[in-house]
Amino acid sequence: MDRNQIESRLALPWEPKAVRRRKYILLLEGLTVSFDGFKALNNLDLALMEGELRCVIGPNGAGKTTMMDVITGHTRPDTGEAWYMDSINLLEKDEVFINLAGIGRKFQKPSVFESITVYENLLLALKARKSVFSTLTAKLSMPDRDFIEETLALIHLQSLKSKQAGALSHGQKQWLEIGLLLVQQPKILLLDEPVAGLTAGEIDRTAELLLSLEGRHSLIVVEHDMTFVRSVARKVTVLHQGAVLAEGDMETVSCHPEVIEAYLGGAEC
Amino acid sequence: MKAVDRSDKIFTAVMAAAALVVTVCCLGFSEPLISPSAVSLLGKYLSYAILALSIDLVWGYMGILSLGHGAFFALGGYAFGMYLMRQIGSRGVYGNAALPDFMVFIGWDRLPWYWLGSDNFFIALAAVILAPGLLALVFGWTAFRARVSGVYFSIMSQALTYALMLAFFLNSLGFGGNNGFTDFKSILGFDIRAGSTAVALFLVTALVLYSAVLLTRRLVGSRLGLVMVALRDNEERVRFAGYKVERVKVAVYTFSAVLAGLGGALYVPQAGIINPSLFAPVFSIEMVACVALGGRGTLYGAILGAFLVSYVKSRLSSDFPDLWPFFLGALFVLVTVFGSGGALNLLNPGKLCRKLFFRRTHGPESN
Amino acid sequence: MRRSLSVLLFFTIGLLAFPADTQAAAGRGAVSSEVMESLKSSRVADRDTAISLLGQDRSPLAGQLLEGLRRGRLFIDRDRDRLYLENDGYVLLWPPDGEDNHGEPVNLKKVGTNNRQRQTLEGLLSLSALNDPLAENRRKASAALIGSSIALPEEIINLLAAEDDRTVRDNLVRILALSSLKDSSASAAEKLAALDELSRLYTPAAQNDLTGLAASGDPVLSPAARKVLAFMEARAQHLALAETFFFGASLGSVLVLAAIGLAITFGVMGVINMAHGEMVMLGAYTVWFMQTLIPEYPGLALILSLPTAFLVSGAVGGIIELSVIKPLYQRPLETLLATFGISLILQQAVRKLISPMNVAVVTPTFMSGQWAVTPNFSLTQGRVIIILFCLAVFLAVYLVLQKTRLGLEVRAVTQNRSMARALGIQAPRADTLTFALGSGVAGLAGVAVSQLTNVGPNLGQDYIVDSFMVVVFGGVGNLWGTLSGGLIIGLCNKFLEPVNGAMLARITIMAGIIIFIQRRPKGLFPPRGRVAAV
Repeated sequence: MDRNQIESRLALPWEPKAVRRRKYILLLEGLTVSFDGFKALNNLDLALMEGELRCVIGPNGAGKTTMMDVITGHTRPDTGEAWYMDSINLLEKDEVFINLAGIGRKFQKPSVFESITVYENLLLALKARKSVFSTLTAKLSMPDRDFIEETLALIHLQSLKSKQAGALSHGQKQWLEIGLLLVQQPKILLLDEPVAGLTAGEIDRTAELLLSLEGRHSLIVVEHDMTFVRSVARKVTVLHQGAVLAEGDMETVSCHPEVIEAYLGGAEC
Repeated sequence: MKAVDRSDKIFTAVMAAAALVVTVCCLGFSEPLISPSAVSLLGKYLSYAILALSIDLVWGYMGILSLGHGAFFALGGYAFGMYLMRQIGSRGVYGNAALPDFMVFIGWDRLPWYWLGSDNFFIALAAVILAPGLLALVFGWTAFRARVSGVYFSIMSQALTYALMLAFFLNSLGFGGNNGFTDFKSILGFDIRAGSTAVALFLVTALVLYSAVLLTRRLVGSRLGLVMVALRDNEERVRFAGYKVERVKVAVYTFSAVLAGLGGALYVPQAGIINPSLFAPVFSIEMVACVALGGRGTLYGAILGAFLVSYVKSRLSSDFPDLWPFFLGALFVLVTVFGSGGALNLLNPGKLCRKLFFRRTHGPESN
Repeated sequence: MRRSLSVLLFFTIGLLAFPADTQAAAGRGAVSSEVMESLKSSRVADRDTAISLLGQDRSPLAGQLLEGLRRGRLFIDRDRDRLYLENDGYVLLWPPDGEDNHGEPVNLKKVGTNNRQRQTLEGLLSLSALNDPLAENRRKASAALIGSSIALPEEIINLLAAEDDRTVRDNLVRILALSSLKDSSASAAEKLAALDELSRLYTPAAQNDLTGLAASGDPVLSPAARKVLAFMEARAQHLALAETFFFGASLGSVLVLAAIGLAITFGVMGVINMAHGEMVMLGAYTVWFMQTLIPEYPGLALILSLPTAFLVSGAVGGIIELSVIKPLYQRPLETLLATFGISLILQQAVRKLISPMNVAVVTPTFMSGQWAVTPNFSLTQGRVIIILFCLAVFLAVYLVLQKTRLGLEVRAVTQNRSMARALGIQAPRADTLTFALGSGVAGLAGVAVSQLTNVGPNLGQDYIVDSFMVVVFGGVGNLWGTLSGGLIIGLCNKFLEPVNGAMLARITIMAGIIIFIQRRPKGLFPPRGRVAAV
């Protein structure tokens, strides 16, 4: 089916496509994913601008992780479209292609390579030619070495770079995973609960880090911690039962009656 | 990094010393200190060590437990065995210069097409590499692409070697059925039972093992080695770091299979026989046990394990044949229940103590 | 049918056109002078007369004379008109004792018969044996009559009506039909009716007759016979298909039995138990042990082995779980190696403690009998019982996992260990019990297997690879998958066997499953949803 046809059929809640074309780096339209009858995503639409930091909130089972699975090629939707930079149909590509095209993902459960060192973790993820042969013969160049060091500084793990990643604390693993994304130099970062299990101080520093990335990268941050969301959010999307319930800045969203009922609870507004 | 260099040096020294001692003791005296048959036995252990090394490469580094690596070993062995059978020529029982004895026995009048060229040493050598290599390539590619992993892969690889065993039992396959190949007479024109041939075969095996170790050390030391270890930890993350996981797996798996095949090819002339029992799942699992005993993910551990287990096996099964299965069984249980450090821990008492007294915080498999 | 028979009898009577008043009716019978003269004569034709006269005679004496003639033991004293039967000396048969029964037999001559006559005699004797009270003798007699060219008496139709043994009835119908078909004077309609009778028998013998007819070139009968033959062939093919299906189902049942236990330990708990085959072996050895304990009643011992084998294998499984598997949860590959070690130890223990050779397990009569569905289609009772047993065990396991508290706990622990714990479920205890259950079911499989194959230390090794294939093929964690997977593999195996031999069939199946798993790694019935994706 032609993409224009699909667009014309959908009653889209946002601007006409001519404007959109230039600005959106990621466009999801009418995504539906069902597992055994349960609809994890139900006609989901989402558009992300270049350089935007978008927070996605929603109760458990709202479809946040499934959405990331679809974007990264891990799960194929039943219906819908997913376009990256207006030209790449994400639904036709596999995980590796999507990753190499510039979409990086941090998992909900911190996943780093535990039995190698912090430094080696970053070395592995580093943007480079990643075919089998070039990986076998890869040598570390000076700019790359500097880049890794810079990233280490950014994620505050300089002093721990020779330590096994498995021995890091929970918060340090979260940061290392963000670091793994950064050295890949992606256009879009998908961050699934980046501050879960962090201390208040660590959360502040993570917020600082993410804000510093805004503009250079586009970010989608899925988070439950509302304080953190408030501190970083420009635009917030609320998911509920696999579909967008509300979208807008934090003020608008948190006063939305349905959002309050479904998620935030009464006291927020 | 320093420890790595030291172990390399020790290994080089041990291999050189072994080569020297064996050569001198077998050929340097009128009454050999080490009999040619003992040299062949040692050579056989070395070929097992090559197989163990290849298993460790995929299991120890990538976390892929292949229970069918014996199949690649056996395929390499059969490929080279075909050459040795053709070398017999008219010296067989039936005196048929064109056909091996077993084919005369089952009433065939000419060689099947896949035996063509098997009398040429270089074609045989190519077959030694291609047969296991292609099988691993096809099997690995389909399995890894379908994301068959963990225990599923283990079971599939076991089924593969089991099916091959059943197939090689068939007389009609043209590989000697139950009895396989034996009664070899010569290799490259040299008498296969001569002491000098035994020493030469031993030296070649040692050289192949040594080069294989150097090669695999280089491999695991490269960034690809890093990817392999990362795969073992978290395959999904590697994919999201932009690596085509399937290709990495297939490449290493195929390399490992070729290595195993070389080991099998070197095994056949020194053992003097090859039959379908090498395809039996038990053989493959025994070799996995060697790796576990020596310590997986260390390469040297695999070699040490293969040597130790083979030695104990040949001693026990000649002196107390009833005890060997008990011993091997207990070995499996102890090695796995008490962690995966393996025998190399014995060389490092501090590490051993830590292994014994502190539980590991995270296992090599995360799920 | 009635009409054709009456016509048949008409001819029969015509052939036996001898006056009935020549027969002596009193006592054990008498020998008419005509018979005596014919026996005395040295001409072969005269002996024919004697035989046909005796054949019509229903007296016991006639029977004895015929029997004596057939066995070449009838002797005649021509001078004194006496008949003797040679049987450890000479017994006077005629005239009856009293008259001048003294003095040694002198000048005896054996009454000889030629080959043709002996056949006639055989037929006559068989005819009279059709009245024998023992069904077994009647079967023999009727079977012997089929080939014989003897003329059939009128009474045969009464015999047929009174006969209650199926085999004898079939034989009689066939005899009558055949004789009608051979009769040159019968009309085409009668012959077709006879052919119809024949075709209804569905026995291989009747089929042979029809094949003969089809080849006879008779303008009416041969096409009719060919038609009937084609029909019978189609039916035979259906039967062959049904038979293959049955063998496939029985092989499949054994596979399912061996795999159910594994489906529990591997599929539900995620534990790789390489010693599973040895649990099957222990079950089989339990049968041997029970039969050694009560050798007089092998059947009873077999039935008693069921609970015993379940307990023995279950207990050993429980011990393995507690000692080796518990420390290795979350490390499946290590579990695999450790349990492989245990399997080596168990095998060797059996070799050392019992014998390295196979042991003899008796198959009781209720397992070895044949159950004849139709004359040319019979099923081995043992295999039928094993199929039913497999279904029963499957149902029981299914119910235990779905309906009992243990099943609930197991499923809870499988899905979320820490959550189940938080709800007060003792996960370790559930683990041990489940593992024991899986092993116990393997023991039950061993009892069944002991009835089909040799029981030896290597028995488990023969089943372990197949069992894993069944579970993986069916879809891990799905009992229905195991059932259908096992049955499909069994059926495919038996249907492939005639094509390319047993060994190659097995290899083909193996390769097929490997390829299937490469295409669909989750098996026939993959677990679905988000759980599966993780």
